Amino acid sequence: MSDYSIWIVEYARVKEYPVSAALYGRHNQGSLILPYCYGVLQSDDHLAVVDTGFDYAEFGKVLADSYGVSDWQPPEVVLSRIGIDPAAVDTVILTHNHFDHAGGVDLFPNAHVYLQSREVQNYMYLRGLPERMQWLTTAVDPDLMLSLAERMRDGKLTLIDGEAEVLPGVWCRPAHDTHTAGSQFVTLDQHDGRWLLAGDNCYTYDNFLGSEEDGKFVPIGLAFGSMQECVLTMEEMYTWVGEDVTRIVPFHALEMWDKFPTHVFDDTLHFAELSVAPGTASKLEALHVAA
Amino acid sequence: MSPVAPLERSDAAVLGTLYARNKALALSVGAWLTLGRRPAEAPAELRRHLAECEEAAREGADGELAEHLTACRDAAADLAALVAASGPDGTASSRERIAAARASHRRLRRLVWDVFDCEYTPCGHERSN
Repeated sequence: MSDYSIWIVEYARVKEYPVSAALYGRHNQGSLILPYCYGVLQSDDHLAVVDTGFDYAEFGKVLADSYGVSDWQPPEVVLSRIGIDPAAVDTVILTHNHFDHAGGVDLFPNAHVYLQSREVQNYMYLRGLPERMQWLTTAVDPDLMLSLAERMRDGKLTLIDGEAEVLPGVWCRPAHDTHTAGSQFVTLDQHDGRWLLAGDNCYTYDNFLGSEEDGKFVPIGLAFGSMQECVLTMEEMYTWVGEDVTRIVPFHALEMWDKFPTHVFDDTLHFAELSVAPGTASKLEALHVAA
Repeated sequence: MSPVAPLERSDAAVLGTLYARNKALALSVGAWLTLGRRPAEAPAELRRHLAECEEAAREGADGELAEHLTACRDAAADLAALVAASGPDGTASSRERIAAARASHRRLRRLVWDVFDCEYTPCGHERSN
């Protein structure tokens, strides 16, 4: 069994994100701070990221102006300060193909990329629909799709059909027809138990804990698939971690910084250490020593 | 996306229509190259789109959006060239052709976002929320 260190790095945030977008039906309930993060997995043999963020050069200003996305930092900042060179990342796992999760693929030039085939196949289906239905591709970037075509040409993209072990001990699990047609989440079962990196199949822990923490799932606010599939996928995730939601890692949950050992950098972005592989030095301790 | 809708009159409306179509076509070309399955009608659809972009660029050459419509034409031309240079399974597509299509599409959208609001939406974050 391979063991991985697991870290979460925050690379940007939205300071006023509508609650109703994170939790279905919570209209007129104000806003919350939404961190933008990706996951980092490191074993003796592999260095992987789960999602990539977006490329500020392309979207930064427009996102800042339109939605208040702020504090963006590139991988060479958020990874380099924990001793990781983005060029050394050998694997990128995309939980889905929305530009704010997959739009930074170019920033990891040497990685092999994994994505659910269904995500791409769905674009061929959408292609046949009238132009008035283009909302269905509202968060999809054609430039990114061409970038993935380039990766495929170079033999550095694998389209997954369903469940697949993409690295030793790292599994992609399909979450089809949920947030997107070909969403997936990532699981690891290792020395310190099970971990699940959720992508946008949940936004916060409240998706699982429910209103008043009554334990009744509240799905995310946006499903290009169906809300039923969202809830069924949440059940699959919840069951997989043995009903221990602290083993689920939502990439947009502010509560992560309370649940896991965390360092806050001078630019206010966070870094959380979820798991340290046996025989591996803690990056968090190194940061605290340096501080 | 198909079927192709008739063009509107004003330059801004034409730009909006052509940009949306360029976006949809670029997305489907990227998907096709990735999946290795070209839809039979794709080359003809791209030629039609390019012809309409060329016409719009000519007609709008003296207008305020001349640069934008020219960028539309260039993006369509690079996309059509990418498809023309690729076999039915996408294996023959060159790095240079893909890079050109990406660059002209990115230039186009930067110009379009000077005219229209950016249509990209971070997951779930609609402006009306």
